[in-house]
Amino acid sequence: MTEKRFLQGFLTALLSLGLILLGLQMLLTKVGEIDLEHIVSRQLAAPNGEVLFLSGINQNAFHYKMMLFDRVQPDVVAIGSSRAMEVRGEFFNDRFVTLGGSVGNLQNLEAVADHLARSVAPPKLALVYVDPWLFNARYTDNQAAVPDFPKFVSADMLWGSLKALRHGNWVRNSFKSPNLGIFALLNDEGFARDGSQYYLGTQTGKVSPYDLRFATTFGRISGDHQNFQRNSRADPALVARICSAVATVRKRTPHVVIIAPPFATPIWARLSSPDYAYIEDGYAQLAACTKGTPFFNFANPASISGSTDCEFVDGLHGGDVTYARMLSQIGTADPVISHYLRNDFLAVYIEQYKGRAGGTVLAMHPEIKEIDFLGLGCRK
Amino acid sequence: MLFNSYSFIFLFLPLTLAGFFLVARFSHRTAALWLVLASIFFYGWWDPRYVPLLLTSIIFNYSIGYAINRARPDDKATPRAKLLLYLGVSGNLLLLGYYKYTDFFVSTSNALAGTDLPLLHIVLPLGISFFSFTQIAFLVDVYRGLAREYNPIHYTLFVTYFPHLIAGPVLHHKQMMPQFHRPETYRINIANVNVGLTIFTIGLFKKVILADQFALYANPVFNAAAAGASITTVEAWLGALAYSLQLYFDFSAYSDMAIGLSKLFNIDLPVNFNSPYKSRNIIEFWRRWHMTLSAFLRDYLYFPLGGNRHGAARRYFNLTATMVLGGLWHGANWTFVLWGALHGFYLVMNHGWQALSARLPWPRIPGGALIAGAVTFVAVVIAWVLFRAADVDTAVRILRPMAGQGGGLSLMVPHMPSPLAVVFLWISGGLAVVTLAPNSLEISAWLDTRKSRQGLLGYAVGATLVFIVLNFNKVSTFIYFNF
Repeated sequence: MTEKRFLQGFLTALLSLGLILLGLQMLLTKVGEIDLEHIVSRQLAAPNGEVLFLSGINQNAFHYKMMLFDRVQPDVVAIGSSRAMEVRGEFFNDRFVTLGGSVGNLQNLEAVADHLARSVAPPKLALVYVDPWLFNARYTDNQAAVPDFPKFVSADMLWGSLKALRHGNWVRNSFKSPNLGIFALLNDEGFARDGSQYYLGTQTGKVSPYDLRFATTFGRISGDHQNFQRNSRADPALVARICSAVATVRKRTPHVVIIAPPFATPIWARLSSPDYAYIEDGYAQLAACTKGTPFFNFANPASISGSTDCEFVDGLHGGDVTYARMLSQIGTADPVISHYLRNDFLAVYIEQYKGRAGGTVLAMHPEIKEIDFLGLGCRK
Repeated sequence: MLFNSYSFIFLFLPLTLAGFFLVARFSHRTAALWLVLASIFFYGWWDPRYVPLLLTSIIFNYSIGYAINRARPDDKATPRAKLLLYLGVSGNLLLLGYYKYTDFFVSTSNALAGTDLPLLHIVLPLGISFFSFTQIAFLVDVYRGLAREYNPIHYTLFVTYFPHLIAGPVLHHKQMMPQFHRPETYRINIANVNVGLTIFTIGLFKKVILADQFALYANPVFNAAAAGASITTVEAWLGALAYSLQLYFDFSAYSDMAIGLSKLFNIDLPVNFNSPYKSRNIIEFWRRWHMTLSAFLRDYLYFPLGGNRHGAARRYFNLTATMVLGGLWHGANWTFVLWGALHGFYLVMNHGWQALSARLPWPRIPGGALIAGAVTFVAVVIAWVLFRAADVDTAVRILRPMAGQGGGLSLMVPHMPSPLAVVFLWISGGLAVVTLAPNSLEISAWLDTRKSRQGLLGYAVGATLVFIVLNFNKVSTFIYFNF
């Protein structure tokens, strides 16, 4: 390889392909798949719910939620997995952001707790939604690290965005819709500026049903995988880590509440078997090691007054009406928390949207009607 | 700083390379110093707190080497030189022992004596095993009269030279110093640049596209086993095979990248891998896998222990002891000790078998080479389970179903992130590459002989590099950074 032609060919490849990638970098930045600053700034410049963000490629919300928290500096914050995403800002008197979707595992929970403890403006109230698998030793994702939010175009991103073209022309939509992220551009679903998830596509049937009659969730239970690994006992070491994370949040946040989020009725019936005895065991250990921190266990949906499966998005995600009911119950039991809640609004909201999975979306779009997307025979 | 990072490829490497050849136009000595400074910066990027440790180690070994040489006035070993050698080697072993093995000894003492001594949780400085071994070899070579170079800049460069500093190859003083002296080293050589870019790109491909893909299939199985999950026979084998492929592609990728990068600076590093999974016995495997470490262990441990000079029994003991210590070098964990012991046992069996078959008239078996290759590979894969597992219990939880005990023959792979067919295809493809395809050095040599379509080949290498860079979003560190 003594010829200079080899090196010339090498450099030509770098230059020509580099220019193409630069163009793609600009396009994916415009549609909200790359630059987190740009995404959060666009959302905060618009009224809540007007600019939704959901990537079609990158499902990890950790960095997005942390940046949202830093920029909004909320008084009230919800912490948890996707099972804390239906807490709405309009339920509170004060500035609110849900970090729901950022806690996929214990390591994430610890990272969120540290982030809050180091914040220049820590919240006054933190609602910590704890999933039971966090204290299941058989849940293998507890050590998974958080991938960085992409800064540069990548092969996965190019492949993912190309595949997304099968579902619709997101490039064209990006010139018509204010939304950011390929999924939001295609389905009108995503995170609003309060961090909560809007399920417009699911509620209207635009997105294909994910958990018809909870079949997908039942499949995960029978498969003994994907967060539903069986265990008879909770791991005390994992519970201790959760307690420690809660203690870290409490360092600078005066009011902290722990909440066990609900499952749909038939799912909970299945989880009540001895195969999943670790759930109640873990919550009992958690309540014991976080003495002094109010703990509300709503894992059994029967504990939520008036809630039905029709108010669920799928087998393990309650809708915002269910979350409004939970907050209302918490407010009744705890006057300190009640102070932060718009109690009158919650009562009206629950009454107006009972039996539906998403009241906020229906309030924003009075022209749409929620369908029975779970196939449960719900009359909506 | 990782070789497979934007900062390395787009900033550090071009600036270091350009600076080196620019400065070399005026002074070779300053160019070498530039490379030293760049290498220290490269090391400090990970954690600057350990730069003083690295420099102290260099000053210590340089001084001891200098003193040993002065203690050999007539080019003969003297008691004073021997004492200095012991001092130098002990210093390196103490440093390595403190950083790498303190907690191992404490936890072992606690387990054996029932004490409750606290663990110190000492952070292992990156590359300490490599720079310690490199310098131990230097001291021994000085004592033996094989090393005579005392230019402090060149010595520091020999230890810190960034392509090999973190994860080898383990270098010999005599391989490197003549190259630092050579005037041609300091002039751009387009042919070397082409070869270097090609080998570096092949290494990067192996790491980013292949090794990290196999990690996706190996990690969940080992993590699930560590968490106490039940692993099926199919999943256990797939996990073990995936790890065997991940480790080979990962570590040989690092060696390729080191060799390729070094070639850009006109410096040849020794070959570290030569298609080890094509080996037909364990002896051959160790001549093809991590060749510089094998040579180090042979020259500085096995031979001093007596090698094969005192009869078969002593030879087998020496082999086993060398492999156990080699295992311990990889990490402070009983899994590594067992891994080394198992390879020691393999080697003893292999030598014993060879001795036996030399005396007996064995018939030639058709396809014997294929069978030997398969048996060797399976033996290596089984040993890698010990190497990868977090502890002995985890290893047992994978080895038992691999042996058909307790795992069941279900085709379910609940811990895999992809369907069985996809995992199977990747692993089959990986096995085909490691057993049938030419290795990176063979590919590079083949490209070197081609005189036509050089522009197209250069374009293909450049396009491959761009494709790899597009996959940097799932960047991970190299496995051998841990050792």
